[in-house]
Amino acid sequence: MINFFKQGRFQQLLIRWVLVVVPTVVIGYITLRFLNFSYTSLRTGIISQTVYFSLGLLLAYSLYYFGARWIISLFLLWLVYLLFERIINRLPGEFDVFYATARFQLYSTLFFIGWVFGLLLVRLRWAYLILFALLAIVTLASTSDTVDISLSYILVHLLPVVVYGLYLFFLSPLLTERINIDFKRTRKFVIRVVLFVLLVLLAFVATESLFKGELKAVEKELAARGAKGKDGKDGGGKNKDDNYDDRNGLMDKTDDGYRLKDTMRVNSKMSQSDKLMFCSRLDNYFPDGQPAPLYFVFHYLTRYDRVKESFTRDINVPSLDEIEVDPAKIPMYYTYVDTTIFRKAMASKLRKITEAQVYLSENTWKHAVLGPSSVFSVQTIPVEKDFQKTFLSAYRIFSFTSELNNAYFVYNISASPSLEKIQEQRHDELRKVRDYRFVDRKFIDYYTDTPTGGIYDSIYNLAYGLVSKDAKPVDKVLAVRDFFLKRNENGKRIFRYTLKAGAIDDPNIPSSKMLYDFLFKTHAGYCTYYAGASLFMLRALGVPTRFTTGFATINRSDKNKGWYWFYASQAHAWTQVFFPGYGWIDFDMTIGNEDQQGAPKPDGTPPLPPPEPWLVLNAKAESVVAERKQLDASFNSLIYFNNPYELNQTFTLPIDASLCRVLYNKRDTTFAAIKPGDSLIIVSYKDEAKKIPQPMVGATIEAQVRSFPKPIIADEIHIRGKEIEKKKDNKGGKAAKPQEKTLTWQEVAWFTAKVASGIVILLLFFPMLYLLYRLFRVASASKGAAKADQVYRAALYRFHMAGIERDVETPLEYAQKKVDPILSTTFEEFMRMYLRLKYTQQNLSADDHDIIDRFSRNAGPSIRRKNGFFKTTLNYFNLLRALRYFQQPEPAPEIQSL
Amino acid sequence: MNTVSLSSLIKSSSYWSKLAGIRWPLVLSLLIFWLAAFWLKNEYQSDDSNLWLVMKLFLLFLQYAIVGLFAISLLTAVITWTYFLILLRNKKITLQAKFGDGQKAEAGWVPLSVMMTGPALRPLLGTIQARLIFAGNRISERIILDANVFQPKELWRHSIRGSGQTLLHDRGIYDVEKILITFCDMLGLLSLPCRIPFSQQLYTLPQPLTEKNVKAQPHSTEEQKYRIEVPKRVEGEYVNYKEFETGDNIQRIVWKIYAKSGQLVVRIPEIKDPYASHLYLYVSFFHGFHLNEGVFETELLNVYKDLVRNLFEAVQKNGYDVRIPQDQEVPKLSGLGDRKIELFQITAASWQDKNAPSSYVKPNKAAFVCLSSLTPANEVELIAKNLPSAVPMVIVKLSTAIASPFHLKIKDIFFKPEKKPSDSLRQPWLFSSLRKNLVHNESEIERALRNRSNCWLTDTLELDND
Repeated sequence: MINFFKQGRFQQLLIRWVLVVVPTVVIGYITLRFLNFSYTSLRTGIISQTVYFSLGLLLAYSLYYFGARWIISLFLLWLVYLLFERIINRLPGEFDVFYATARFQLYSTLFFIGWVFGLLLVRLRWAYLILFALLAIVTLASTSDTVDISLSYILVHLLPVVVYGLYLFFLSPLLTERINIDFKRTRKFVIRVVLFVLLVLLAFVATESLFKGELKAVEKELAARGAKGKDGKDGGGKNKDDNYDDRNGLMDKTDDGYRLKDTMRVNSKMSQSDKLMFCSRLDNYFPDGQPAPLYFVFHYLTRYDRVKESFTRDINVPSLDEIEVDPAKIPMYYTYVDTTIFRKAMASKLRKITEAQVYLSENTWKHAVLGPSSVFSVQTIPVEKDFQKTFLSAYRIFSFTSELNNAYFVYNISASPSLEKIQEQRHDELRKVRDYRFVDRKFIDYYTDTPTGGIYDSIYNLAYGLVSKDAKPVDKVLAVRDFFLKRNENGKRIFRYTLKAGAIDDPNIPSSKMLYDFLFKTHAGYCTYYAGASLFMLRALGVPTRFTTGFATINRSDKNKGWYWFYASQAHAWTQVFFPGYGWIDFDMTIGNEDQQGAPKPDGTPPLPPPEPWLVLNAKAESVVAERKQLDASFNSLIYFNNPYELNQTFTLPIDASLCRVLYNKRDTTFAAIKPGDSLIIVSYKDEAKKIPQPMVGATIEAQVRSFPKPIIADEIHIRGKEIEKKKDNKGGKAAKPQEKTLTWQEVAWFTAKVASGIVILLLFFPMLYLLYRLFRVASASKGAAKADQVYRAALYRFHMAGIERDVETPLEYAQKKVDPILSTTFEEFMRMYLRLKYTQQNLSADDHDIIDRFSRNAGPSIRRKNGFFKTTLNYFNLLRALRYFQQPEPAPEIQSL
Repeated sequence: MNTVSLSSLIKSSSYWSKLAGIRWPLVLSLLIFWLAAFWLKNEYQSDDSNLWLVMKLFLLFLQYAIVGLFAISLLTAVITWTYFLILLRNKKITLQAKFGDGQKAEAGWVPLSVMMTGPALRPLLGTIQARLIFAGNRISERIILDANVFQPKELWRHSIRGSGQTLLHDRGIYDVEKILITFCDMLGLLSLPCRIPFSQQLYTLPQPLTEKNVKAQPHSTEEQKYRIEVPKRVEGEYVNYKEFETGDNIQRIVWKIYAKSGQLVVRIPEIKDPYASHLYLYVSFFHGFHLNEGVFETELLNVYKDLVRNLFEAVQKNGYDVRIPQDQEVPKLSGLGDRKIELFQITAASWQDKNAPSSYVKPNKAAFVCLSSLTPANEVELIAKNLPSAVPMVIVKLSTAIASPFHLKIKDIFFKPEKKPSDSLRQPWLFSSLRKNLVHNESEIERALRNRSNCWLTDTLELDND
């Protein structure tokens, strides 16, 4: 075989690079991309990883193609590996060695994998089976580690592997041959490969449509099951997949703005951007009237995932005091209340209810509920017109907060005697908690769960050395705090805050390793380092702790008391510690960061508070009079003086919207946008000028509604649209979307198939249609020369289609020698007459008419007599024969050449 | 010998496997799918996690898609194959095959093309392949019939054609008995066979080596004028002169000869004579060993034939018509011209133990003698004794015909050397008893020839004769 390839072997190699190596590099890239999303330790840039993989693949493929001996070459490769390892170990500096080694290990592994792939592809005919199995297992394994599961996600990641496997399956028999690259053969080859890929795709499309029902069922099932988390706050989870580029940050970018991550690694990088995220008015003050800021919580990350080395959300944990609602889905002025939060907060002492208004900027993910610990009520409120440029949406929240919580209880504040005093009081109060003896064991076990082994154990040993095991919980917390505040012999702090901790640019190292380096070597890190380290230490000491993400609240000026502005750089992570009776208390161990304290921008002007409505109708537009800006609205639920009511009947009332603000999707629009049938939220403010019916004690709400003024003067109308209502109905709104998508591409496939089959049918019937056309021309031709011409053309076509094809004969010869002997028609007689007619321009005699008539009457039946009706009809489906007819020159010029 | 029979077993099994219809990928992929399904079922049937809910559907989806693809692939192959069989029964298929120049080719990779005329259909994205079956169930490489042949004014192809190469290593006559047509589906799962009787003969010539010059003079004095391609210079005292005739230039008279003999002669220019006498090259295929029809013997024969062919051509360069008296009967091949009969004789010969060289070589006729080292030493000694010392004698050393496995170049350590058909014999040859006996025989021949000049025991044609 090798002799066979000798000519132009390099050319053959190049062809194989295109056919085999390039697709393998592509599938390698896809798999690496996928792996990078699932595992931290790989993150060194997918491109560079792919480059090393491809390098190994290409080198090995080329070498082995030229017959290199694999044992010798692998041995040489091993020698090179040892050499490089030696060189790296000689590098100056402990850290350089560490990172260089780690990077070298990764790259050399990838190079080696590429090498083995190349070896297998050249030497083993069944290599594709091995590679397919390998890739499938790797992809499956990393799929099983993914949080977001959907069919499309799996399809997107597994389908390329399957297509690659089938492609190689198809290709491998062709590779044993010499592949010629002359134009004709290359074209054939390319067409074959393309057709095969199309066939594979068609197979998948067909199967997909076959399983449409099951697909829907599974989507529904998924929506019904675990998707709780996704439907609510996690609604944007899907988008996350597409936006993993920002994965290094503490936030994910979604279509609806930035959101904090659900999972966080120790080295999750702090955002340094100064984008305005939101602002808030928080009604929390010290007894002396000074504002008391509180940290704003986004998520509690309660579970530590050992595999991914990250802190993750776990919404199924009992007693999680985190409200599950998407504020974007709450109708305007409506309130979502979850009273179970009070129970779940597991606190009774020193608790109060705090109100806050949160205005989200366009940068913030609009589905996020942000507020101080234990939000239990969310009410959407409108944004004043002048502030709509800055803020897209707003809500009012009520939180069940602890009086012991305070943003000033961080440990880096330059000592202020009054604050220190408050801190001490707080600690004294918490010292009342001696241990967790009377707390549910399962709860304690869950929140003190820690991984074991290696790095973790050394962290625990460090914690055990800080404080005795019998110390009170708060003292354990303070011991950890003091550990981070320790100073060296020169009086300088040992731990410091830095955004450039560890090796962010080289996050090749697992997170736990970075944590170890932070605690024992570098002593420099940012919030997630401090929070992560203290979580492990506290949990090791038996103190229930959770990782909290959100925003640090900074009181920058006293100009607008109680107003706080939150920028992206304030995204923060800290720990919350559980004290029986007092609930979860914030403890932020992060060493002060002067950069963060300084405001990136001065605080802006706070938005005006929304006017107080006396009436909010959740209504449907029945009839709209656009000119007079009036409409009739039917409703059966309303909010009347802040109390929501469900009516036992539907009322229809006239609404006067002449002075009204109309909003669609929280943006101003005109009254004309309201269409009958639209879902509306109609708001009327408390106004001295209006006649407002005061709530009557003892009267039913229906009776009170009847006494409402007619028309009701509306101040705001929010159009919710029809489709929003529909979405709400089927609940699995999110699941419905991808289904619609697949439907459309299926429709496209079906449409193409229909068009294609239409064309095929048209083609199939084309000869028959052409016959009908010819017969129609004969029938519609006026008597005389024109008729003779049409009869001639029709006859030529019919004889041809009957199987009597004309080759090089003249029409007369054709009639004499071919047609008449077989069909015994009067074609020759007709031909003579026809030719005479053509050349002499004589008028037709009666005989001539007779000849034409006789011939045109007999032509058809003579064919049927010869071939039978069935065969005659069947002959008109012989496309090739018909094509040959049209290949012939036109009959008319032929006559002239006679 | 054990390995030899094993290799023949492998050869025959490779022949039968080509007729099996089912190919390894089908068996392997079915096995893998079954194993995967079995493993997944055992491992995850009761797994109720979200991942497996989706994964189950995905796998089902995949299973149907792949089964669908396989079904299309297999069905089209079976349908087109059945259609082909029907066509064959109705005698609508004709086959043509052509090797080399139609009758002969040089041993090694021989160009080969096959054409099938008739309305046969290819499987969807699959191929129709052809192989030639030679006598003794030897089978050629496959030829993919991938080119369409059209006749003018025809829209549908008239026939399909393919060309390629096949390895015909043994020098000798090949009888094509059948053509094996196989229908391969697009995934290469099936190759449905159909054997069609076909008869054609061809022979392969021994391979030419680098050109050598071997001097030889005709020993025989039979004067037969035979036109040769390169005229040779005619020498001799009288040839350059002729008697003076009227009209000859007086200045050309050689006065020296006149002074000596009183004859008036004129010098004539030297001429080239396009005619020459022939010489006899005696080539013996005699052996004095117990030989079977084994692979070693065939390979030794191949090597011997190559050397004989090249010796023949080298001797021919002296300008004589070289004839090789036959030492055995060879099969006849129709349509073979007389001119090339010697080459055909060489290629068609085989080892024989009937006609001993001592009786075959005629010492008074022979101009050149070629023996193999399979000739017993006493025979060689006898010929050496009888043959005039001027007649060159070559004894081809065959113990080194199959290279030792330890014979490696530095490049071969890193890269596999090009494969030769005799590579598989290298190791068995090293340990074979035949080689041992041959080496012994060669040393005896060497001893016997010690006193004779003009004779060589060699495995090349580097003869240092003057």
